[in-house]
Amino acid sequence: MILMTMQGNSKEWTEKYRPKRLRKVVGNEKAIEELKEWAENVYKTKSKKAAILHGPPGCGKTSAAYALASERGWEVIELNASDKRSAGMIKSIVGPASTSNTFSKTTRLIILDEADNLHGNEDRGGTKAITEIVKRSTQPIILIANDKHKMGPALQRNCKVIKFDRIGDKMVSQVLKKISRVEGIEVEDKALHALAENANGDLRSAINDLHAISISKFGKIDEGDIATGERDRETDIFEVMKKIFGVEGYEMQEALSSLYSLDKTPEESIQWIYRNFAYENDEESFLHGLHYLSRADTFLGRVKRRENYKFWRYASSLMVCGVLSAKEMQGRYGWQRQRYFRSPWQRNRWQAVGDKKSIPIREAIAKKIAEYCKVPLSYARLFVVPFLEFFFLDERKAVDITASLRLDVPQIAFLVSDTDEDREEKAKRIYQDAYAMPKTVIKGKKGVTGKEGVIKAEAKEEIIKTREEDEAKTQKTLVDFF
Amino acid sequence: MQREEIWTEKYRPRKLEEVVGQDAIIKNLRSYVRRRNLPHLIFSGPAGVGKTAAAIAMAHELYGETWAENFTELNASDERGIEVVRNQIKNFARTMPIGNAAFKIIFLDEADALTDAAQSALRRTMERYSGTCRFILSCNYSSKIIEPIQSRCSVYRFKSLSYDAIASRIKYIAEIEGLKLTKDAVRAINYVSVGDMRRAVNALQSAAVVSREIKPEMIYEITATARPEEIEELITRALDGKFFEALDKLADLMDDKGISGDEILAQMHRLVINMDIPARKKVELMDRIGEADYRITEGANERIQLDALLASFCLSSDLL
Repeated sequence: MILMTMQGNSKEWTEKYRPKRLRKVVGNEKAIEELKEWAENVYKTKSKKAAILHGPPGCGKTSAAYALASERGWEVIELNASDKRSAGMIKSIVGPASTSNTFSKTTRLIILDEADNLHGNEDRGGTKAITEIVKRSTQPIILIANDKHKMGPALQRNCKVIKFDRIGDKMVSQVLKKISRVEGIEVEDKALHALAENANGDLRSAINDLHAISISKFGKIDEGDIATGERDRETDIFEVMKKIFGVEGYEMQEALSSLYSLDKTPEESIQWIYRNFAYENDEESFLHGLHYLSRADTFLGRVKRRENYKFWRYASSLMVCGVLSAKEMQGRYGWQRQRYFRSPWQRNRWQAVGDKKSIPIREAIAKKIAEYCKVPLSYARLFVVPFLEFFFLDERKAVDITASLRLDVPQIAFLVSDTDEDREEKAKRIYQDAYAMPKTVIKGKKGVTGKEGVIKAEAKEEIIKTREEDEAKTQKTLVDFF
Repeated sequence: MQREEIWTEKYRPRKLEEVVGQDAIIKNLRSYVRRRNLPHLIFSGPAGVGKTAAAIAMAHELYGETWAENFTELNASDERGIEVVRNQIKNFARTMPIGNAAFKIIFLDEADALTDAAQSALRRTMERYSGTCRFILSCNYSSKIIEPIQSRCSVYRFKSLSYDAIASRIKYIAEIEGLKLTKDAVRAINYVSVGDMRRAVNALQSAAVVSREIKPEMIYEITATARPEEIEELITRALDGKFFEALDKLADLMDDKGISGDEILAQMHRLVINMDIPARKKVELMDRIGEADYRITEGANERIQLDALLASFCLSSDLL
């Protein structure tokens, strides 16, 4: 149950190359500094005994925690999701370890990995127990999480919160290069870049990819090997989209079979098809295609409600053949298209979307939404941002939303539909309109938005104090916008 | 009397090269074996296309005699809670491999049936015991496996089996068992299997019980499947407006041949897509078939629904 760090015999590269010193942890310089500072002050009486390291997967949180421990000669006790972590269990293991150091002088660092993942039934009372322990502990505790919002405000208040970011592609490919040198494998520079890019800031998955490819390949690894690796599923779906929407006529059977051979559930597939459909149809065929997409969707709903997967076959064939027959109706054989749109609801994928400059902007918008609506960042990112793009088609709504969220021009421009030629202009106009609006008018019209000016100040002081008690009262919902 | 073994077990591939129809994947798996090392793997794909077969064949090639000690197969759908991971999986993972094997393999069938919480528990177990253990997760779609596990695994998509793949294995088994197999019989087996090798082998074995000479009619009869031509005739009669003739055909299939309404609908749906009618009409027919299927599943009378479906086919020529 309590597992000491395993060393030496581990074969996975991510374990083998885990840094032993903090300065060897790549990226996140600021976070590392904060972590060091926290560790130095941890013995002081009034200091926070626990730190939360949060950030996306594979950006070095666990590595940093272990490197810190080995650098300071701290003993490590780790509890992760594979251990049962109910209230009693946590108290019985971590409790004594965290308060008693009478027997030995060595410091014990308690690492709680996946702390945002305490599970409902099995781990009943887990979060509360942790909060208790964090308050009483004399020993340092590090909580590791992807999403700090899942950990509750009380716990966050009692911890030093340190944020980790994705690691840059350049740094990822440097690490890969070093590893391949040590392992004595030859890898083309281009291949390293491709690996780094695919990993999208997740160093662990990049190293795993390199490892996997090096196992299956003899001789020098080139760019082509990367494509045959595991993350080529995107290209596959684009091929299928081409069959469904493209100019070359395909038999329904062939298009449908190629859809079946994808590693995508019909629920994912329909999002791709739907997103790519709407654009270039005339009215009649548009209606026709949409009708069958909706029928396909109905069958998907039936699968969900009845847990009867046989209806998937109707959903799949209706979504593919509906669109193909709409194409035929137009008397054209499809559309020559340079690129296909990605499904808007596809999890995590937007981060990989072509234009890399837009990523931080998108993240900033998501953050504002998360703060304003009191929803987790990931929720805002995945579900609200795509909707905002839609609402920004209506300029009046755009102005309202801009005012509420305090968006700036680049952020507005991002949300303004990307087909607009003059999006910069439009964004500026929205910006001016939003901030020229007299406060009282907004108040009269919307109620909530008028309070906006005060909200920031509140959010910092009062709300934090009283948040738990009257969360329901201050909570804003999406309804405020729409 | 000699006890008859189930052929799907008896003819489970012992070597990777025997796993048919997944050439690109098998090529990669064989190079893992050559290097005597492998990453964690996800095998995604429909049923009966060789996911388990590939994993077991790989274990045979890696471990030889000691394969059974170093390879374990757990079915996640039996118990899908977090307890499985915390007890069974961890216990197997933490013990050392037997013989001179460098690691053990845990094959987790239907891993997508594990709850999210169980999967997050699994994630850390995978990392923790990667020194002594490799995981192979099998699932229908890899997106049902949580992202952090996906990022630790190489994903292989197994495709539905082609006619050639099914035919080659079926012929191989028939030869060893001393069966006579016509080309039409192979086609029939392929049709009833729907790309699923397990079904194909089962159909062959069931037919072999009846006679050493395998004929297509036997295959259809044993599997309670209508011959594709008959279903096509049923649809054509209806589309031509010959309602009562279509009803006769339906009665023949259901009452005389004992084929279920569910099966008839499934086969109609399979065939409509390849029929020589306008695309718009195909989609509409598929939609109606699906609707009838849904109503029957919800408890409606299958005979009434099928009759009504055929009637609506009769009238559809005016609509489109």
